[in-house]
Amino acid sequence: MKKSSTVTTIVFLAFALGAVIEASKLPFGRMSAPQPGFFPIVLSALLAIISVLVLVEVVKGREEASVAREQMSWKRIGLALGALFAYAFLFEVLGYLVTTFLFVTFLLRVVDRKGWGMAIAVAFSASFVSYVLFGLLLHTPLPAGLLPI
Amino acid sequence: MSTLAQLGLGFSVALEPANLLFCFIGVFVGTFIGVLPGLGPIAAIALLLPLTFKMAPATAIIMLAGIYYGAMYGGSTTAILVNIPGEAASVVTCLDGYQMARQGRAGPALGIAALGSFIAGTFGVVGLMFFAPVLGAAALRFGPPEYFALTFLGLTLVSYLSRGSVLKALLMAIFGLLLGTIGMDPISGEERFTYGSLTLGDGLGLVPVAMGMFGIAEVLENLAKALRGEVYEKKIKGLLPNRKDWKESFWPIVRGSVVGFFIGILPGPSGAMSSFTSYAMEKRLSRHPEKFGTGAIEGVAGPESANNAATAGAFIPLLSLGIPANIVMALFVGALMIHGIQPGPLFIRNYPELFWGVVASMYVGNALLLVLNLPLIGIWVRVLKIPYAILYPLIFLFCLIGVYSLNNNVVEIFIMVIFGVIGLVLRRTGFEGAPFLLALVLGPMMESSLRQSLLISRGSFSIFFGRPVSAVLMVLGLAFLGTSLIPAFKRKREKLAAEIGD
Repeated sequence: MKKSSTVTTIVFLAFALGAVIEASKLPFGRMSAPQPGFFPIVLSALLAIISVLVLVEVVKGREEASVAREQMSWKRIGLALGALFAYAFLFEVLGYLVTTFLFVTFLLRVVDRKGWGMAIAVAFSASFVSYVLFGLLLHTPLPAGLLPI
Repeated sequence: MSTLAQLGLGFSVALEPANLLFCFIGVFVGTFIGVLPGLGPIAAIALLLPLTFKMAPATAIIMLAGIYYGAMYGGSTTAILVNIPGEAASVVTCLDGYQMARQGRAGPALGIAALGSFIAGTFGVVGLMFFAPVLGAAALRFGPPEYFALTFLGLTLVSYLSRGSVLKALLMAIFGLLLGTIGMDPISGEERFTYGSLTLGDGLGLVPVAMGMFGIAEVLENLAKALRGEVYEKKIKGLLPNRKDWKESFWPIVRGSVVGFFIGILPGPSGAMSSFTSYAMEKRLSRHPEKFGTGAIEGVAGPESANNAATAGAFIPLLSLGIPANIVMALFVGALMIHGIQPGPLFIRNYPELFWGVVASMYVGNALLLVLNLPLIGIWVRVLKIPYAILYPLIFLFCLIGVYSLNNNVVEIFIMVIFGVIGLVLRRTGFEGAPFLLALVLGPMMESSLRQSLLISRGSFSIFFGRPVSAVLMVLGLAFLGTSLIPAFKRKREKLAAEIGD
């Protein structure tokens, strides 16, 4: 908890410093006539300062553990995230129905170790029903992709 | 026109068959999405927002308002039955609501939540009716310094009320403001931090960010923990609270309505804030505070009423000042703008049929919720019994379709998933999402009002303290900031002293 908190805060600090550099490329203007760079520079400097303060707070360990420590299975998170990114990549290529079918099958079969029959049945009905509901009834424009619908 | 005549006009709008139908659809879909863990009003509105583009403006707003309070109500159902808050505002409802369900009193808990919400919602609507026009008239004289001071107060308040470290909350607020500057400069139109991306040209979308940080992050976290509350199996009988329940709940409902309404007016995640405040207040006022957490009906009645009154209160800054108090209100701005309507001080004067129609539809919607939810609880219980392994792919799907349907832009799906990862890391390390999101909503308004103020004052910050309204707001904000940091120092010193003592 303390270690991951420290790392997160250091990432914030690095982000803030990067933002200072990027924001200083924009025109700052004067106090009496602030330009587009004014707000971002002030904010990124403030972010850097507060990151340092938080870092001090975390390292000194004054802060109580606000999130209880539990067993986390990071493998499932990784697989689910992979599926989400794959969904975004394939969505417009394969179309809504195919991508959704593959996505739900993967989550059920690989992430949750359900049987093939169950996975395919749920995936099929989920993609079909949601297509009818959103695509046909609510006119959400969903990419057709491979299927000529 | 007198208020009554205007309200009559409102009812004539709200009771038109089409409006009544969409009010019903909104309330129903809102409750359904609210029941699903991890999805709240934001996801529900994102899913149905594209549908509103082709509607008459009044119908669109009536439906969206219905989704909003329907989702709030759905959230409490899951809190009581499975100990999983459907959304942030119902976290405290879990404490006593689930305990009541375990004692076989799920019925009265759900009943008092529905009835309390109805009473508070009605109170909130009456408040909205009287306050919004008054504030709108006053707001006509507001200039950039007042708007800056309002946003400043909102952000300090939300950081002040965050759990855990105030410094971390402030850091999140500033992070949100900074990401809010992505896209076109609100004054000169110059592009900032877009790096050639067309999607970022319009700014970082609120919906993908919010659904990522809350929806996706929450589901991922649940996946890792693989835990699941138990649906309370016992047959739910006797939804109506008995006479003793009523006696114990009456004052909590009244106090919750008043407190919730006023918290709702302030910019911030008012639903969650109001329910926490009401719970703390009831526990302090109670003659038997030790019963809280073991199934005290006051612990359900107060917070549930408060968050519904806050829903109505949150419309006030939007409809009278044009300031969205939270993401849901920011989505309302989007929905209104599509119809070419700018919410702000002139809104009520220019669109009376819209304002009073929405007000009246909220009475109708609250009545619908009451009538609907008591018999429909059986369906919601069945939805909750779906195993999580099947439910979470569906929740992902709702998020994916919701985000895509807003702009038909795949890049926004990526943004949502990335913020899902960021949100997961931040919640595991004690950084809260609420200040970040409010900052992202208020950022553009804060920046333009700050820059305009400095232009007017030729660079002097005294402008914020020289005008009465902005001075009061600024001093309040600074006071929150100061007092939240002082106890931090105090505790630090105490800890240091303890260490030296060892």
